[in-house]
Amino acid sequence: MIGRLVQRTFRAMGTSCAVAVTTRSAGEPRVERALDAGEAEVAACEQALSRFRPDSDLSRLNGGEGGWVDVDMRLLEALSAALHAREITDGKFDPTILPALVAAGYDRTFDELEERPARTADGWRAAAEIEVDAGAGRARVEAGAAVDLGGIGKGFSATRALQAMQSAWPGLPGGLVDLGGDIALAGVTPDGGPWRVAIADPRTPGATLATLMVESGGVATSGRDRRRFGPDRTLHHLIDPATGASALAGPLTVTVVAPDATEAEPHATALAVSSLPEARAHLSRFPQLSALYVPRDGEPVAIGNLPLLAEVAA
Amino acid sequence: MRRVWATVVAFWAMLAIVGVIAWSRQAPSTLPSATPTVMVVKGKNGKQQVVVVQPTAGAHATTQTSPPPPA
Repeated sequence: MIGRLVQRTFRAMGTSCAVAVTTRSAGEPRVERALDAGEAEVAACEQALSRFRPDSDLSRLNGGEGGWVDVDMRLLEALSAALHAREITDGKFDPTILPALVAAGYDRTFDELEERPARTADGWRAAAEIEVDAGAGRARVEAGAAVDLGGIGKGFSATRALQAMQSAWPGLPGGLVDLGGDIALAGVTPDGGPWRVAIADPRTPGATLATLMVESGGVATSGRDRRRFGPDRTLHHLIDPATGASALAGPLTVTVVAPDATEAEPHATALAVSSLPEARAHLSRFPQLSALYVPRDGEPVAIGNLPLLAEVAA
Repeated sequence: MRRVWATVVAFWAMLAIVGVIAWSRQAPSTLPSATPTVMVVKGKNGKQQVVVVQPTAGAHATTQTSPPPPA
């Protein structure tokens, strides 16, 4: 038994967020220092990566009309991670789907969405060009294209926030960052064991599907269970880059466990537009990943070595 | 005098018994019970099999795909 978990909750990135540390004593100054550092890093990431803030680095980049734009190093790192993710997911995760997403109707925060008929982006083409010049601290996006980091930004931010907490408290026994369900974990819990992460059951609001036992790494979930909009709420925000429209294939939700949250989230996004055979084939290439795939019909399927806490009864 | 000592010993013996009972008694759980879930997993022989999984209460975080309703 190490002690207790001190948690702070706040709102950022359009969702409920939490940072938490394992500590022997809640009154230690380094507890507050670590929590402050985590929350501040989330705020800094939002300022760099949000497409809903007109003054964010990402908004300035998207308004750059194909030219080079000086941006925060967080955006440069996130773009590099997104480009890598696009490559290893064979384009199923694509940070340049924004025109298709906006055309589909997701053109403002979820709190502000109105119902209007969907349309397909004119001349839709996936995999628009992005260039990152880390040395010069600048990036560019091809003219007419735009970037949305919705499928990687929260995982990236959670990873960075956890690192900020570890820097603020060298030797941090355990830390957790939860950005609306995209979760980064390290170290131990107050009872000295691994972190327990409940997977929400998309079929039954408020119910838990299973509990994961994660020693360190990231957990991310993507799906079409709740973020629906448009006429009769038939549309969802998961755009299939191949068509530029709301994806037809894919599960209700999919949860991915990875060595870090930056890696978990784009894979979850890619699997969310994949059939079950496609998801199995995808994960067979990445032994460090595991997933829980909840199809729209049928029973949930665990893929890879999913670290389920509960004993499994045959 | 012997009666006084007997009373004192009986008092402490009673206190010890009460303490042991209180210490060993399980506190009633206030956590909601979790419903078992049917799930498909890969068995030890490498084949897919349908199993029942018992979710555990007391998680540190919960996955979600969208923001919860405003408080």
